Amino acid sequence: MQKLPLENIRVLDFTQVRMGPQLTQWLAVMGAEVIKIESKLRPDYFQMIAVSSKLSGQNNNRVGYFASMNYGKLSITLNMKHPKSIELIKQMLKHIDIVAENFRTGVMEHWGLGYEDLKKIKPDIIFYSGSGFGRTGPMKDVPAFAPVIGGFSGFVFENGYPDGEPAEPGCQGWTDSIGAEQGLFAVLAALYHRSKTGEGQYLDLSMVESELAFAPEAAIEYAMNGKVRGRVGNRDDVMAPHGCYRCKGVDKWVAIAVSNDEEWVALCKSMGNSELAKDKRFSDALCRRDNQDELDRLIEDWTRKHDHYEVMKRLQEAGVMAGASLNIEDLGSDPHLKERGFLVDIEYPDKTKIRRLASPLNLSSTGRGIYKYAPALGEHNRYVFGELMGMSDEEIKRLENEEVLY
Amino acid sequence: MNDGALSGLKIVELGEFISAPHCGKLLADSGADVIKIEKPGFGDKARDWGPFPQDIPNPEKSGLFLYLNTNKRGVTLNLNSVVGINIFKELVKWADVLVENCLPQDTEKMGIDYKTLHQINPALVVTSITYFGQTGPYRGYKACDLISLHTSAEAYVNPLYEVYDPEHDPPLKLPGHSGDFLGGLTGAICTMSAIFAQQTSGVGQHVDLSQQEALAWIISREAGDYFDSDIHFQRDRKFKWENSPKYACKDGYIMMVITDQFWNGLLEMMGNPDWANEDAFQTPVSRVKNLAKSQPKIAEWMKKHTVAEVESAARTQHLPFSVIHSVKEVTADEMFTAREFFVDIDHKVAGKIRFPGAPCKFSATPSKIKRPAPLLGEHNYEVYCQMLGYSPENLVKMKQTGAI
Repeated sequence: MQKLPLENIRVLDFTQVRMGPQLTQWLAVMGAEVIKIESKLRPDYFQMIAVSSKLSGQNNNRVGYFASMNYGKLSITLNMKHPKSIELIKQMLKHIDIVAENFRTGVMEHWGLGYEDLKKIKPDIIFYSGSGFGRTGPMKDVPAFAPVIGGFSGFVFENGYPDGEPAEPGCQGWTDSIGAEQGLFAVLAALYHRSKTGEGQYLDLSMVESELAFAPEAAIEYAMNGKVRGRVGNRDDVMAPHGCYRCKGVDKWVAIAVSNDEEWVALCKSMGNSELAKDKRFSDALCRRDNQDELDRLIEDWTRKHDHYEVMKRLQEAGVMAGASLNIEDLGSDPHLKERGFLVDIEYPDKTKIRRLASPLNLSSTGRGIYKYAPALGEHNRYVFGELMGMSDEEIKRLENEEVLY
Repeated sequence: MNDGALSGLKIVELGEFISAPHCGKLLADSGADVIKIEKPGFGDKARDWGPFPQDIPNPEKSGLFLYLNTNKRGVTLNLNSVVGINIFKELVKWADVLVENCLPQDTEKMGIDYKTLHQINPALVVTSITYFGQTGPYRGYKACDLISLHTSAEAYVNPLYEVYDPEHDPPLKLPGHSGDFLGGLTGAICTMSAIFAQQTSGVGQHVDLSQQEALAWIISREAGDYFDSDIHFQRDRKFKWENSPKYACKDGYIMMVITDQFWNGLLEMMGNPDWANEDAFQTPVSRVKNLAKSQPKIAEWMKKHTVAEVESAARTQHLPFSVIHSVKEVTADEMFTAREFFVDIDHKVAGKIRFPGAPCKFSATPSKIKRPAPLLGEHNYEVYCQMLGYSPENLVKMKQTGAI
C-alpha cells in the first residue's frame, strides 16, 4: 500500500470551531499526525452545541458536529492558563512540523508562543495563523464568524433570488470552508517550499480575503466598469435556458442549462416538442436570453410531469446539461457517489460506527486518504507526553493532578 | 531571493474557462512555472466571457481570463492533430504536473488519458478536474457550474432560512461560478497532496477530482447530522429561522452573530430592554431554547435603526457584526488598502486593472504577480523553440498547418 502523502508530518493544532479544524482535518486525512490541544476548561464549541445528535451521550459527545470536524486527530489536554503548559509546548516543538491556530490576534504572542518565539526553538517551523480579517490592518481585532465574513465580503449581497433579499449561503460552513481550503493550500505550498529549502515561515490567512479571491467576479466587474452585481437567482449572464425546474414529487427539482443551438434542439426533442426548436422566440442564443421567462415556463410544464433523476438521465443521453437537484439525503443514496466510494464508515473503539462523506481527495494509488475516529478528550496524553516526549507515567499522572494536563 | 513557495515546480495546464485555470493560477501565483495550452485561433473560452472595459469585447481584455491566468506562460496547440499530440507529449515529459479539465471521453479520444501519459512520464501527477469524475454512472456527463451546485446539494439548502414556500422557490446556485472556482481550489490542494506522495515514492498518480464531490464535501457537517440523527437540512424558513444572523434595518441589511458570550453586549446595544429580564433569557441554555421569542424582538429593534446606527453601536460593544456589503462598499473598505490586498496589473493590451490578490500572506515567500495573463500564443517561440528546441522555420510550418 502506498504511503500517505503527509505520513511523516506532525501538526500541533490549537484551532477551534470550524475553519481551523476543517483545515487540520484535511491534514489528518492526508496522513499527518494532528495533535489537537483541548482542555476541560474550554470544550470545543461544536462539542457544546452537539445537542442534536441522536448519538450524543456516547463517547462523551465526541460524535455529531464534533466528529465531522475532528475525526482522525489525536487529543491532548493542556490547561493554557498554567505556565507549565507553555513549557511543555516548547518542549514538544522539536517533534512538530506545522503549528495551526485561529485565536484572536495576540493570543499566541501573549502566551509566548508566537511565530517569533517558536522560530527560536525550531527555525523551520511552519506557523499557520487563520483569522477573519488578518493579523494586520484596522480590523485585526474584530471577532470573526463566518456569517459576518460573508456579509463583509460581498458574497451574501450577491446570494439570493432576484426579487428577494440578500441571503446567507445555505451551507453555513461555506465561508469557513473556503477559508479552510485557501489556508490548506497555503500550508501545503509552505510545506513544499520547506521540502526544497529547509525554510519554514509564517502564514497569515484572512477569511474575508479568502472569500474575495475565491469569488472575484463582482470585484473585477466593478473595478472595470463600475457596475455592481446584484442577485440573479439561478440565471446566467450568457446561457439560456439556465435554471432550476420543478419535477414530480415534493420539493423535487432539476437544473438544466443550454449553451448552444445544438443543445437547444436536443432539449426540445427530448421534451417531445421538436416544433419548439423552430419557434422564432427561441431560435438563437440572444432570443432565448430575451425570452427566458416564457422559456422557463414551457420547460417547467414538461419537467413537472417527470421524476428529476429521469429528466437528468434522459437529457444527458441527448447531450444536454442537466442535473437532479439533490438534497442531503440523496447524497447518501446516490448511485454515482456510492460507486465512487464517497461515503465512509468510521468505527470508534467501542464499535460505534458513524457514516460521513469522504474527502474529494481521490488519488489513483493512495486512494481517499485515512479516516479514523474522532478522539475522546485527552485520549492521547499518554502517547504524546509519554511515547513522544519520553515522560514517565508518574510524571504524566502528576501533571494531570496539578491540572496542567487538564 | 523569493521566487515563490512552489518555485521549480513545472506545470502544464490543459483546459478552459474556470476550474483548471483557477487551479493553475493558484500554483502559478505561488511561483510554479505554468505553461497554459490554448486552442489556436479562439483560445480559452474565458476570453469571450468578459467583463470587458467599456463593454467592448476583446479576447485580450476579458476580466475573467485576465484574473485566472496571471503568472502563466501561454502557448497555442491543436490537440486534434498528430503534430500537436506529439508536442503535447514532449511538454508532458518536461512537466511535474498536468492539470486538465477535459471530459474523460475526450482525453481518451485524443490519446492523452492517464495510462498513456504515465508511460511517457511515470513521475507525472495528472490532476483531472471534471464535474463527475473519471468513474461511475455519471462519468462523462456534460455539465457547468449550475449543474455542479445542484447535484452536490449545495443548491438545495440555499438560501438559508429564507424560503416561505419551498414548493415555489427553487434551490439556488451560489454567486458567480462558485462551483467551478472550488473545483480549481480543491484541485490545487489534491495536486499538492499527490506531489508529496510522489516525493516519497518517486511515482506519480492520477488525481481524479469530481467537482460534485468537492462541493458536497463542504456540506459534510450537515450530511453528518443527517446520517447521525436523520436531520434534513433545508432552505425552508420553518427550519430554524430563529438562528438566522441576518437582520433588516431601516436602510439595508446586516449580519450579526449572537452567541452567548455576546448576549450582554447585545442587550447593552439595545438599551437593556425590559423583555430581556424575563426568565426565558437568564441562562445560556434557556436563551438557546427561547430564540424564537427573542429573535422577533431583536429584529424589531433592528428595523427601527439605520445600518450606520447599528454599526456604530455594535462596534462599541465589540459584537461580531457586519454590514451586508455590495461589491462597491467592499472594494472601498480601507481594510484592504491597509492589507495591500488588491493588486494592480499592467497588461499589454488591456491596460491597468485592479484585481483581488492572494488571501494568505507568506512571510518568506509572498505571492507576486510577475507577469499578467498571456496573450494568445504569446510564449510559442519561448516554449517551442527555446525550451523544446524546434527551429523558428518549424514554428512557422506548425502555424501554417494549424498544429499551433
